[in-house]
Amino acid sequence: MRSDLATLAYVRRLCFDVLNRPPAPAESAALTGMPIERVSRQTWRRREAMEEWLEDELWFHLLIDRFRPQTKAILGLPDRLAQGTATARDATAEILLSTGFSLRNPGNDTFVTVVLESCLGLTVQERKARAELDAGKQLYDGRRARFLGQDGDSQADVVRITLGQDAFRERLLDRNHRRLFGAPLATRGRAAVEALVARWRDDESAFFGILAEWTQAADYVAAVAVKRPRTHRQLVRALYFDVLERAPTYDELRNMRNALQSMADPAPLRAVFSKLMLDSTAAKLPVLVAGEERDFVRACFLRYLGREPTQAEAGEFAAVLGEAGASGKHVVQALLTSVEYGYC
Amino acid sequence: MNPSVLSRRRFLASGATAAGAALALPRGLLGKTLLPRLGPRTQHVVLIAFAGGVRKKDVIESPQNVPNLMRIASAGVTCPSVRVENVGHYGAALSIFTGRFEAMGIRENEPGLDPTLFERLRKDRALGAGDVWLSTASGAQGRLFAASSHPQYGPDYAANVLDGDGIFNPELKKVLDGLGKPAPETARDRELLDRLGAAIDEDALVLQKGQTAPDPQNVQRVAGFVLDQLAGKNAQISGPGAADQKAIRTAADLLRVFKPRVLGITLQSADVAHGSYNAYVEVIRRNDEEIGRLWDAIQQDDALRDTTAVLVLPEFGRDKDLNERNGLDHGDGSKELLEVFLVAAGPDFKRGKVMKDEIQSIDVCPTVLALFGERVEKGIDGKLIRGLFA
Repeated sequence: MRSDLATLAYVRRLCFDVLNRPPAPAESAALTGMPIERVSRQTWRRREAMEEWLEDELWFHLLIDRFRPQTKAILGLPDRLAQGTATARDATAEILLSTGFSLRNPGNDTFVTVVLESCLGLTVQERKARAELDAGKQLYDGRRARFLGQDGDSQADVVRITLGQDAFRERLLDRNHRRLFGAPLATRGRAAVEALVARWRDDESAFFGILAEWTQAADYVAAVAVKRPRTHRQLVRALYFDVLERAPTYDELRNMRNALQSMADPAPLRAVFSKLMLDSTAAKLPVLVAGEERDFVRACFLRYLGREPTQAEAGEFAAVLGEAGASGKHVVQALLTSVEYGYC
Repeated sequence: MNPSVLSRRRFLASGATAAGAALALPRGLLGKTLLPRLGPRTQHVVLIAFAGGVRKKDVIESPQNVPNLMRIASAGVTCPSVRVENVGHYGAALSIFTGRFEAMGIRENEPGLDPTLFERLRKDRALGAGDVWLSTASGAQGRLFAASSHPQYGPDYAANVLDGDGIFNPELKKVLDGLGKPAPETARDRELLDRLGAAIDEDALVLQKGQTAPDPQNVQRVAGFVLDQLAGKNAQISGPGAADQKAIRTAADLLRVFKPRVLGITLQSADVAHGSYNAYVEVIRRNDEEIGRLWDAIQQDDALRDTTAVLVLPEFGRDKDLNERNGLDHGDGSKELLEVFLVAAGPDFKRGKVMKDEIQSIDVCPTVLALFGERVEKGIDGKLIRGLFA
């Protein structure tokens, strides 16, 4: 296969990075072998991609559980982002101005501190930032002041002025770069970072285009071979998609993710969740046809681990399947509880 | 290791230590003489960080609040003068496990820089993953007690961690119940799954430098434990101190099932004291009851009774006076805040004694290590508590 065509490994990594889940078998079949640039662009254009990006942002801002905003404006963001009628900056502004954010960060001091720290990386204890904190608090309280070099007199101005800063653009790009590459944006060099920030400043809609370009680049494609641990969100969503062929509800995802967070190593709890799902009457597992054990094993490896079984693996799995009491469910459970399934 | 982070934290820590040392009473011969004869009798250690900020005035000086702890004290040694320095929960509790006063912020969400006793025992004494456990009620920070970011130790040598409240809660139970009842796993199922699991080629998983995959056998054992626990009653515990209760009950089950060599327990609910002194006392009493159950379970277990040491201490105390909400904060620098207690009972310790010497909370770590034959001086500021030993 030519290097600019998407491999299954690439499709899986992209789906995990952008959709927080593995591809469904039909998606794998459709996308594998297509030009990488097209796969990347199509995936980023999906509403689901924007939904997951937004969820990751809400998680970053700790807007979870009772603080999770449920307003029409927030709920409508994935559609607007996918259609291009809202930008990443618009979405961030909606988040910061949501009731959930104000409840999570009540009062002028906490609100402005958190906005400055999370959006610009400022440490408000430092003298220079302290002055901005004081000015921001004045704006928050409805008094006119000069904040980050601009005049304003409202809480909305605190957000507008903050999100207009290059430091905000750089931080948001950096956070997404870490998510996609596992490395800070700065590893690209100062000149490249400044060029990216300038590009986004000049074209308000450029943000997701930059992310899409990153996931087509040679360094991203090359890194696909090295596996990364799945995030808790990815683990839960993968189990739901792989076993129940549906997305988890918010409550299912939240409670399972909270539980996974309670253990230093999520593998044992993943094994528990896998078993409960596989034992569920709602489980949708591949069908094992007598005499086609090797094909079944191959299909399961491709679907759940994203790779061909080795000859030894195929042989041993088929042999076990031929024994009394063995079933296709044993194969799926072995793969879902394997160490390898915890990585993407 | 990140030198800039290290130097900042180490600077703060060393400053705090030096300041503390200036106030300290003479330490006598601690740590300067030969190790006592540490019998091989102690095979298991249960270390309870009675954390959340607890004054000795409300515990060992109010025996009616803690009849069970007093039972343990009568079977072991009480140290009524244990000096602490950090008064943020995370750093202070972490100090107990690292043997150094850790200058960590109250909301810090990163592991410490110094190896914990869990990591030291796993690496230096080659204890297995299943031998070292931590049952915590400290939320997301609780996981961070399991391992540091120290380049020679770290996650590869972490304790297994269970945050009972994060897993055994009604919300998760509802989600899991919605999936239906799990089918019982037969011995044949397990055999088949083990064979299939063993057949998966480990070399197919290429990881980033520095990452290691978990041990599948340990994963399987822990998963079985969690599944059993989910079917039990821990998820139904509620009310003040529920998280602490779950942590202690989970620990008792861990002890029964795994018989770990080291079991840490970190509590947190006493911090309700900020808003209510009465609720705080209620938490102390409930925790005492649970610790009593744990102690009794050890005494009734033939494999644990004569081989298990139990150590209990808070990470710090609380203010001398009530705040405006009739609660107790932790920040006045008083003796009530900075001097706590240690109760320790075990086969290698004296019985029914009260120590006169002042010790420090960071002395517990090297003492636990010594019970396993480890004499560590490098990277630990605490000293062996010789006065405990028979």
